[in-house]
Amino acid sequence: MADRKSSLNIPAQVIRRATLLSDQSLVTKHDGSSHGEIIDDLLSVGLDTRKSAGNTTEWDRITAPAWAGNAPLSPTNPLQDRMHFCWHTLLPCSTKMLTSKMIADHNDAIRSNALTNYKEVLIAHSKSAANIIYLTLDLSVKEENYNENFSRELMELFTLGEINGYTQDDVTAGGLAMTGWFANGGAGVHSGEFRAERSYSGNVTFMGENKKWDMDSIINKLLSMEQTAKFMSSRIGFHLTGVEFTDAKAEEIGKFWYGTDYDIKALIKKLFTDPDLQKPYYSRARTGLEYYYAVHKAAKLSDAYVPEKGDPTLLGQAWWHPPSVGGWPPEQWATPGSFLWRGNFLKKIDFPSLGLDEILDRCGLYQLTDSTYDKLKSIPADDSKLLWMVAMSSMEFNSI
Amino acid sequence: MKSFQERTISRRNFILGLAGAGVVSLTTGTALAYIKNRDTLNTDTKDLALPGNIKDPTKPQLGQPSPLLAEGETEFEKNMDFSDLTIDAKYKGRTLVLVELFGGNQGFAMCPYANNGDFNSNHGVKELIPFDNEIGFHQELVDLAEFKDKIAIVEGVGHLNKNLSHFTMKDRWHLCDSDDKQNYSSGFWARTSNALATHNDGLVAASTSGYALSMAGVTAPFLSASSLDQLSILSDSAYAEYRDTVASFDGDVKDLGAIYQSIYQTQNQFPPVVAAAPDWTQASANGNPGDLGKQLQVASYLIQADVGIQVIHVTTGGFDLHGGLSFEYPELMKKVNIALSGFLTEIEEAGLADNVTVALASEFGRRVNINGQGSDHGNTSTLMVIGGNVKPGRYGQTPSLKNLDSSGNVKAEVPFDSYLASLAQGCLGVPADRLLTQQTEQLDMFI
Repeated sequence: MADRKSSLNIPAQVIRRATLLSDQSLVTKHDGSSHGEIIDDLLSVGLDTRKSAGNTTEWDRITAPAWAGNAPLSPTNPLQDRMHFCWHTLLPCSTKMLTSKMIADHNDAIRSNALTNYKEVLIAHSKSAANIIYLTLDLSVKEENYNENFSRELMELFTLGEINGYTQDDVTAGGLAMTGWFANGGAGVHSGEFRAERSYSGNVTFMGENKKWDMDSIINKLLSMEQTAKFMSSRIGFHLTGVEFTDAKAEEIGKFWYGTDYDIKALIKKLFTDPDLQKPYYSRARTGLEYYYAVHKAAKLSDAYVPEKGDPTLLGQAWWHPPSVGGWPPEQWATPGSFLWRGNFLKKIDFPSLGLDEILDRCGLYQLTDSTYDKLKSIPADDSKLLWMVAMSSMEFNSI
Repeated sequence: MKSFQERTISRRNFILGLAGAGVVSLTTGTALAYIKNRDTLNTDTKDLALPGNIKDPTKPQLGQPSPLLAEGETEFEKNMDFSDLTIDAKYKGRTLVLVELFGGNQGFAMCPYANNGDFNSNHGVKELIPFDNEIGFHQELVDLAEFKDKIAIVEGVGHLNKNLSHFTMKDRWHLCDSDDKQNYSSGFWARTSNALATHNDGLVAASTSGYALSMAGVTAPFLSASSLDQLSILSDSAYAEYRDTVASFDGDVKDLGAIYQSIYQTQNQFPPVVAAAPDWTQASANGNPGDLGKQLQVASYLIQADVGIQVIHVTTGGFDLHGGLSFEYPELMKKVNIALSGFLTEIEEAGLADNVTVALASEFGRRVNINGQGSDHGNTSTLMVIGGNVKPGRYGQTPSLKNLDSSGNVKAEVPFDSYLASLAQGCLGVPADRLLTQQTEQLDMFI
């Protein structure tokens, strides 16, 4: 094991997981610090209050996603950027049929609430025009024309987990109870609205209780179930630490989070200070966008994020372009295809001419396998492009 | 057929963490789904341990061991041995391209019945291109319908034990497990490919849509690439040193090495990608083949590269039409029409039509009653199998669109696992009982 600067091992791990940019200055700032000290410092930063400029007439798939993509390139609160990305990943919406204002509003909703409370995030997401259209709540009208789309995914993806504590009857009842929500860019309605005349006003039996339910009461009911804390803390935990929880660990973390009433900062602190979750040092593969940001920061690139320009999309992930309602499968980032993508991406970059040590510092790689380090040291020192490409193709750089 | 130079390397599991990944859910980011299958966290006492020490192979983590036999595999899989497998010579050189229409395709609109009450008008079927007097093709499948003497329409395909989650049903299809991951930890096409590899020294399998659970546990030579652009680095002379360097990654990071080796040590087997993208992969006034066109272009390249490819998994989404049925479904059919007919034509012009079969799949169908502008998740559907070695006709059993079950679903007549088993056995010559624990009935669709 090559340990280049052992006092930076912990900062490098925390920064690459808790932020999107593997910022070298943040790593060196915390030289010798513990996990808890670093995460406390990151949590103490004031919220970034920048808002994206949505436009009610613009339907293109560029402007608002580009804002989300560019925000982390000039970070004010790097942990907030990370959690914005986390919620964008776990609560996905597609640009399809959305005005840029709808996308901007959703961005602002999950970004401004990124470090608050899961209930706030979930309700803001659920009532956003972006979600209302993406999961077809706008088409769910009274008892004649309601659909199950949002109801199913609310339980399966955002609260309880796949077939875990709910039935098809609950899905159907939830679909009926949550009718009435509307947004339609073509009709000039760019924010989610509840319209009573489109809703079902009768009782339904949801989770065994027959009464008048609506979106708020259904979400409150789901959040009152400990299973939601267990399931969602596991999802968030995997996103932030790359560790898949055992059932016992999920119970432990879920119970803790439930006890904080879904406080996001408390969960982050817990996740980053749990010794079990600090191992392994390198864990899941970086996603396409995580890789994009890591390369961007290390190479100090000046170009802006432009969705559909090519590069981020070629890395297999672009803001606001999920492959399905479930978002991006985590398994897809360590396949021959993803490594082909990354090799082609690196080809196009004009890297600064640096020596190996500085390249590894820029990449945040302070602990390396002997195998990787030996390979890098065998490359001629004047072949900077090859050094960059091989370093960035290593297991270490491809992991969080 | 070309043979690979590095046979020992190509026998590795090329997808990191795929071995054993079959026991997990494909649900995106649902880490809890993994939990069910794991007992302990990595408790390696070494601080800052590298993931090479992780014992659990069910995770897509870099650097973990890449066992040929998956941890958590079932008894059936532990005993799976294809060393005595014989495959009839007539199957040699055949390729199956499985096209998954993700989201739940309304198969009764793709292949509508002529006498169907209000269903067709409710689903935007304005005109039916006849297959026979009873069933036909959606009006936008105009070019694909030209292949009708090579098409098998399979009716009534679904789940005998349904569940309406995209991800649970997709997993069942990918594992060919009718019982929610109880019987297999490996993907069905991985098992099939592993069997084929006993008679095939080439690149046996590919996925054109990134990770596919259907390929979990593949030990046969495997590649994933979703566009030809991705393959450009394989033959760029300026990056030969880079390729050689990363292809020799090894030591503690065995899986990473395996991935790079799978990509780059076989690079000389692939002819350079020089041809311009054909028209059928491009958007036009007739529609946009989109990602499906790009993926089938990769499939066509791999088939024409003559590297031995026999199983290709293609996935395209957008079929989850809870709304927008009247205007979105025709666009989806245009996509399918342009991409499939273009691909089949190109294969035909290359003189390979008799060796290539396209089979459609979707995790489930949709309910027949519309909910305003769309329909909710359902069960039973209609599928198509197309190719030069297909016996044209109708297979399965025509389902009733009126005699619905208690949740408003069309009852399944052909279990989905019978459909998949028929493809593996009938098209590729791998007996279904070598791949499955459950009994399946064969649909006799192939010459």
